[in-house]
Amino acid sequence: MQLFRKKPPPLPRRDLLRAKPVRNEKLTCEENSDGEIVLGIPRRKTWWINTMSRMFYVPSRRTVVLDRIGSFLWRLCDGQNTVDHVISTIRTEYKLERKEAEVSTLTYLKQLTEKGLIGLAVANRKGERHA
Amino acid sequence: MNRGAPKWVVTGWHHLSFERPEDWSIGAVSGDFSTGYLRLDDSEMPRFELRWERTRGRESADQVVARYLRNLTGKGGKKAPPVKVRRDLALIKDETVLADRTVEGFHWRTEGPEPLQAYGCLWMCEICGRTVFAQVLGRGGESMMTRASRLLNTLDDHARGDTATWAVYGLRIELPADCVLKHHSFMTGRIELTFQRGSARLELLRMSLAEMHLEDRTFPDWFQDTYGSEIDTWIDDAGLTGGHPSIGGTGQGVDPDSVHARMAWLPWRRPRKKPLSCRGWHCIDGNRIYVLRHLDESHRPEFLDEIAGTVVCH
Repeated sequence: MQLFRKKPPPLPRRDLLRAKPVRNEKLTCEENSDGEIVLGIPRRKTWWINTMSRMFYVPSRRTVVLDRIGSFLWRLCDGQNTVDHVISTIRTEYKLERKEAEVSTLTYLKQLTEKGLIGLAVANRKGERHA
Repeated sequence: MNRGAPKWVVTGWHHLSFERPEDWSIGAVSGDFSTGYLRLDDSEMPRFELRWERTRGRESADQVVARYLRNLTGKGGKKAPPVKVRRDLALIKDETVLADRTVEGFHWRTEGPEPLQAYGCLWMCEICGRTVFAQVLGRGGESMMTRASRLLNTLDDHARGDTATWAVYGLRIELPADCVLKHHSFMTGRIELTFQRGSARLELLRMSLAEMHLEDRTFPDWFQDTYGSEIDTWIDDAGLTGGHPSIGGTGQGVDPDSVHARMAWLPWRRPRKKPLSCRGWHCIDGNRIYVLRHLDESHRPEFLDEIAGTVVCH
C-alpha cells in the first residue's frame, strides 16, 4: 500500500557517481533536423486513460523534445558511462566548473529518472547490478 | 596510476584568501565579513572548512581550540569511535604571518570503519580583528600533511595593500579593499556578485554556456539587446579585457536600493536613476559572458576599465 510504504533511503553519493544511467527501453528515440533528441513515450494503460480514450482522442504516444545539452546528455546515458563520467564529459564539452556541471547534470538526471525516462544501474555489494 | 600533481588556484572571499587544489570547489558559503563559513568539497567529501568571526571576549586561541576539540570528542557519546587529538602543531611556518597572530595548530583523527582526520589551526588576527578557524579534512589513511600545510600557509585573512582578491568558481577579480560584498548569487551557469563602496554599487555577472545565450548572435548584438535600454552612449571599442574585445557604454540605471516594494505608484516612491557605466565581454576560451555594471553619482568608465583589467576570466 502506497500510504504506508517506507521511502527508500537516498543513494549514497559515492554509489550515485558510480551508477550507470540506462535508457528506458519502452521509449522510442529519434533525432530531428536540429540534432535534438525526440522521445516518444507510450501512453500508460490504466483503466482511467482507457475509459477516457473511448470518449476522447488520446494519442498513443507523448513526445518530448530534449534541448541541445539534454540531447548530448541523453546520448551519454547508454548504460556504459557512469554518472561521474557523464559529469566530466559535460564539464569538458561546455567548459563548466566541476560544481556547475555536477549540480546541473544531477538535477537533469533526477528529472529524467522521476519521469521514468532513464534508470540508474547501481552495483550492489556483491557486484550485481540493479536498474 | 599517477595522475600528476593537481594545479593549485586561489580562492578569495571576504578578504580571506588561500590556495587550494583546483578540483576542490565551494560546497557551502554563508555569512559576511564579520562572521561566516566556507566549505570546499571534492567529488567525494568535504575537504576544507573555514570559519571566521569577530574576536570577542577574553578567551584565548588556545581555549577556543580546546573547546572545539572537547566538543568533537564528546559529541559522539559512549558508542562513538574514539577521537585522537594532537595539539600545538607548528603548521604555519611563515614568520611574517606569525608576527601579528597567535596561531594554534592541531590534528584529530577518528577510528572506526570510515576513519577521518583533519589538520587545522585557529588564530586571532590583531589587524582585522577576526578569529579564523581552518581545517583540512581527509580520510584516515590518507597522507595529507603536505597538502594541509601548503594550504594553511597560504591562508591570509586580510587584504594586503589597497586591493582584496575575490576568487570563486574560476572567477577572479581584484577590488579596492573598501568594497563590501552586499549580495551574491551562485546558480548553475550564473554567478552574480554585488559590491557596495560608499554610495557606489558594482555588479559583476558571469554567465556560463555563452553560446546558448548568444543564439547565433554576435556578442555586441546580444549586449545591445540585453542592456540597450539603459545605455545612452556606446563605446564600441572599449579595448581588450583578458585578451577579449569588450563593449561598453554609459547611461542611466535604476538604483535597486530605491525600488520600493510597497506603494511604488506614489511619485515620491518611484525608483531613482543613477549614472551607470557598463562593460561586457565574451570569453571564447571559457565559453562565458562577463558583465560589469557600476552605478555611482557620476559616470566613471575609467574605474570600470581598471576593475575589468583585474578580472581573470580563463
